[in-house]
Amino acid sequence: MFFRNEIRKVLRFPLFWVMIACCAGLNLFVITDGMSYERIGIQAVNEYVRTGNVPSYDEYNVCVNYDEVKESAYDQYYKDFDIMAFKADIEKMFVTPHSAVAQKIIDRNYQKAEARVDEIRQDGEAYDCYYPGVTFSLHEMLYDNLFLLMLFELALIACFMTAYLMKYEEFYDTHQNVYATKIGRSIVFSKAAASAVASALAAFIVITVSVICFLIVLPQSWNFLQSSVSAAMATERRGMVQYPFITWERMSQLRYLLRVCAVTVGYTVTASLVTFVLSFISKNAYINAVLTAMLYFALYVAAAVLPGSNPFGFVLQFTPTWGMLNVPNWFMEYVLNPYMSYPGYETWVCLGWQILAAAATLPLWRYFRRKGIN
Amino acid sequence: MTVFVKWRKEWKILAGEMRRYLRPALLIIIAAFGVLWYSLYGDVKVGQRHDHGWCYKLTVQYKERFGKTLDRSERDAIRQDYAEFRQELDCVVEKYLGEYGIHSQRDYEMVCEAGLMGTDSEYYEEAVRKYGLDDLVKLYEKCAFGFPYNHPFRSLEDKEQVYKGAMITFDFLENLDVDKYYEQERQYEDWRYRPVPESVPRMKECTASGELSTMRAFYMPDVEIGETFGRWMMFVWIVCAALAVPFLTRNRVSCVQGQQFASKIGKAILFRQLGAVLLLAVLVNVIIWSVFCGLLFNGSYGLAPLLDCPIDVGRTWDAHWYDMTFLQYILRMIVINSMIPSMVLTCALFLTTCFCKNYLTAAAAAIPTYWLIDQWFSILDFYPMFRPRLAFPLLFSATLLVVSVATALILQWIRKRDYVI
Repeated sequence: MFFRNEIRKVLRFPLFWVMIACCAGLNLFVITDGMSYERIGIQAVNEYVRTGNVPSYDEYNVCVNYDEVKESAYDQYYKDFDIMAFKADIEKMFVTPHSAVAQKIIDRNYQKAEARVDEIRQDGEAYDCYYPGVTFSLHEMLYDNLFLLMLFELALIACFMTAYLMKYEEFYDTHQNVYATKIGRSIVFSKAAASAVASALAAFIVITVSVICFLIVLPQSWNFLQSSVSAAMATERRGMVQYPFITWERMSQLRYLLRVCAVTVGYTVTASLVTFVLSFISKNAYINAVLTAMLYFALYVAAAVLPGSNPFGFVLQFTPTWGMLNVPNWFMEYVLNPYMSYPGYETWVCLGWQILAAAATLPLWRYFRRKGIN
Repeated sequence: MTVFVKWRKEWKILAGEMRRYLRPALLIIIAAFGVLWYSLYGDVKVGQRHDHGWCYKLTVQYKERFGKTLDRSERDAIRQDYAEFRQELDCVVEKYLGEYGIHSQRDYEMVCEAGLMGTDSEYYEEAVRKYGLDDLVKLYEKCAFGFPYNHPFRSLEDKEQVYKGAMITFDFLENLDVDKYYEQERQYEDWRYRPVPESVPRMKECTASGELSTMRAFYMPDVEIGETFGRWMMFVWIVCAALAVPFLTRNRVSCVQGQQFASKIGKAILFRQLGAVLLLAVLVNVIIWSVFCGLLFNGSYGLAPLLDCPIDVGRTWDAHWYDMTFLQYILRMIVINSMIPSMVLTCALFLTTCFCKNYLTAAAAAIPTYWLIDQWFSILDFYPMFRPRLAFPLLFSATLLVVSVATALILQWIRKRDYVI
């Protein structure tokens, strides 16, 4: 009963729907702006593959080179690709030295990546692609632009809704009645559950609208969804390097997208639970929201400023902020982020911090249960 | 005396309103945020991040030797210094790379460029002729990867690049024809980067003496400082916004409004609250920019020696409409780009949150307000030379006038309304 009432409070709060609408609107703008140029080229590729006709636009020589790119992509990216040697070169050029223990763990993770590269070479996955990644950068557009923005939007919504719900009684000045008894105080658990569900609902709505819009704007999106993430032709430039996306298991773009959506909802719920924990030590909803934002920022800064040789590198990047920033490289390895390159990183960060929030709730709940209410 | 008593009473009310936010817990949160921000973005070492500090070292060295500006003879003396340095550098290259057949800095540049750019390099054919294709690849790897970043040779390499940049600047100034340069720049595709006709007399004025600001010869700290300044400005604005957002909302959230705002005189407290929050914004600006200036001017790479250098002597497309020294430029940026806009932002947030019933709605309304104010002031101050002389001052003044009038009207309207804010 409490849960139902609590969730009604959120669903009746106009700001909840206004924020969802604004976030969805912003995402639609990002998608249409990002795809406005690529759309014509993708349409041209589709026409060429279907009919063999090269469109008349001079600049879309991607069609003329399409067969050549498709044929040569495997030789260029997979034939002689030694991921361990590549990693060693990158570490020499760009990455500061790691501690001995960290280096050992990284090397062990990359042995798994090496096995995965062999698997891609053998089972034909390397050939399974439709659009040249270097030309259209669809992975970057979808995950580095859209999903990265969505993660922070949804974290903001989750933080605000949880703060609102947790301080609802103080705001309407009913806390002295509600928190006068133990049963009344146990309402906070219903609030936690309600805010988690509301955050998940907001995430579901925003993600659904945004992804559907993306698939509508992308011409013949089914061709994109069916192809493999690790295909040679799908390779895109990522920062200073350009090499294939080596996922930890075989995944089509559709499966990859669905997994990213699911984990995004998980991160949103994590933000809600972190805000819930901090609400016990916050005087009002504003301070609650500010403390959550500062915690996320502090987690980012801690890993960003400490040197690579710090032995806590793995721990410092096992945080929701870095998990969210790494969204373009979820479910795959990325040589410039070795501390986040292991199977299940993104999922374990999400779950781990939810467990941490649950564990932190116990002593705080005891404190809250005994606190005098003024 | 009556006026004095009245102002004293006003000041007490203002101070009381400000004290609501100058509490230990809040100051600790702001300080913690400041420490985090500084760790990540607070680096104020302008001009020393990429090239072992040679931009800064050479600028200070030549300012001590030649003064604030460089005339033709002084630039020739610098050219002479560069030639002598090249000869020293050739000896160093011979020492480290002579065994591989690279005997001079020119050979080294040839190998590096040909190895990196391949057939696109103008040195490619010469390099292949001299070293052979297979050996060229190995030599390139030796030159590019053989020396770690902190190797002494890398430092000299950076110094050479800094000198080279200065030579290009000297040649540009000495061969400059302002009218032809203006016509060339008018062909630029993007209309935002085309200079206006008014800029020709100003460019001629800046280059008439034939001298070049010493500060501009080796690097442009006033341009580079823009990035550092932007990050600190963002921190100031975030703190001002964070303080302004709950200010008015607290009236509604707490239980005082029934009594406080039951009368017009009681509602007049709104004007004092606005005054208090604006004073807080000024205080935040003064404290943070004082820290910024302290870090910028002091220390082994402090910019104190360059503060009296004129920034527009010898400048063309990026000159400002009014002559300034570097110190005046920094103060202008602090006041015009940060302090006044942050007060406008504070005002705008104060008005936006007038109509919000709780903190979260106020915080949610603050985000687009912040973004709009930021965008507007970025547009206003975009490349001053590319608009008529009076465009920026007029638009800036109009913005302040509009915000002030809007604030006064809205507060008056609130005061005259029946109770419920």
